[in-house]
Amino acid sequence: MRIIDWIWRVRGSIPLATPRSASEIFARLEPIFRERGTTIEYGPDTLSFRKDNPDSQDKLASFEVGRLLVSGGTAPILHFDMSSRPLFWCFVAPLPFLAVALGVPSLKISGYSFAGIFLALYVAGRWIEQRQAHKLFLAALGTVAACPVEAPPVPDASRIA
Amino acid sequence: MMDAVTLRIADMQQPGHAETGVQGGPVKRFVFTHFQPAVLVAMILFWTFAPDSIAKPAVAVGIGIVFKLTLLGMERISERHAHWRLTWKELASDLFYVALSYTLVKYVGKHFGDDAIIDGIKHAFHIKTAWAGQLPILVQAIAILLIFDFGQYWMHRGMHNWTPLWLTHAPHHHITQLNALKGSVGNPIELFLIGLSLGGFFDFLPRAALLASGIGMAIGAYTHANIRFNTPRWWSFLFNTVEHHSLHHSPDYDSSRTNYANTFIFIDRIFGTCVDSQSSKVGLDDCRRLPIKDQMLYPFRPLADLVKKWRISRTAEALPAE
Repeated sequence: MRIIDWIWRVRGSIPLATPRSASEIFARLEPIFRERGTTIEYGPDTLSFRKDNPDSQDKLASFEVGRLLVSGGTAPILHFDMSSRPLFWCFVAPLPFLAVALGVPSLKISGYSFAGIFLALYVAGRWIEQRQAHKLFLAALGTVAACPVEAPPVPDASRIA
Repeated sequence: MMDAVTLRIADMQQPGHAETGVQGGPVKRFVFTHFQPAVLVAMILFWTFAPDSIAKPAVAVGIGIVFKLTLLGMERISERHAHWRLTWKELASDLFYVALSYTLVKYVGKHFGDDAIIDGIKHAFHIKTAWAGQLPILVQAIAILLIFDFGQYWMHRGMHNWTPLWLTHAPHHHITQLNALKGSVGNPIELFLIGLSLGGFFDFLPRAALLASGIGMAIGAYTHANIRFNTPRWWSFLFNTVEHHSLHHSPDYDSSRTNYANTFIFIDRIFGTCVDSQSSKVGLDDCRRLPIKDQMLYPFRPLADLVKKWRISRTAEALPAE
């Protein structure tokens, strides 16, 4: 399954600066999940969420279920693993429009056009959603992250010279 | 009674009001003040004077796509409401409906819609209206738009007043934000019904039809766009705007029963349903969006409920009495 589930699953990890308890990490992330239709459950090192018809402006609206895990002792890492039905259907969408293009001559141009549009949309979405989720968690973690989003790396003066 | 989130346009134009007009430099304000009338003039000039080799339906489709993409870009420059901002998921969902309009709805409309029926009637009764094609192109286009908009007004008003029609239209009112693509979002049955017109009874030139559809497409896109324009007063008097249409999409029941016309808001003025106001909150009931599957099944809900009740009653009858 893992060979193909990258189509609809978004995974990533964020190194954390110092050893922290999972509950402390999740307390920082919890505001992200204060959205209508979202329920969360905590495990010893995990936070699982489920979204039922999230609002459009919910930053994680593309994901129905997901799991966040804090692993590692002295060098902790936050892992996230989330499933997206919109990504799956966007991946599949070019197929019926290709079928339309091949089966109905009068809809050839529309069929091919939308097959191409959904293919491009999938590629863009797979990148955008992964990037946005990563940035969202990073911003919520703040200084707890190894590379906090608020503090961009200082350029190496010797290399600038 | 108007909802608390609605504001009269006159109030919006008061100096110093937080919602007043386009923010930014003179060029930006100029563009977002004159864009809508300028596009109207450009459409008229293009479809009137373009050579026959260019004035084709495929070009109209291309113009429509480029125009909507332009409006989506303009939404980022002069955004109306941040909570209407387009997300990837919303774009993917909206494009699905746009794709349905250009394929399924178009196919069904062509083979089973007004054109097919009207052609049959004209053939059976030997109706000939070639004179219509002799009129100036602009007059023909205005006639096409007026005939369509008049029918659309009553179909739309009917949808808000008769349950069987409302069941097809309600999914469109479940949208919780507006953008240039939202005009296509809805149940395909509604999209088919709202596209019906009696214009086919007149033998207008294809070029006039392309001009009319270009104007209708542009105004239809504005009315759903998340763009803050400095709309001229004369434009708001004649044409439907995002202000009018956002009020129509308000969750407030009375507000949603206003501003039915697609292109010409003066039709609402004539029939007393025009309200010059707007709403920042759009949606139905508790303003939750309707997933695509529910949008498709919505008109059949009462039927599904009936079947469910019938099954429950049959199961109850089959159970032995205790």
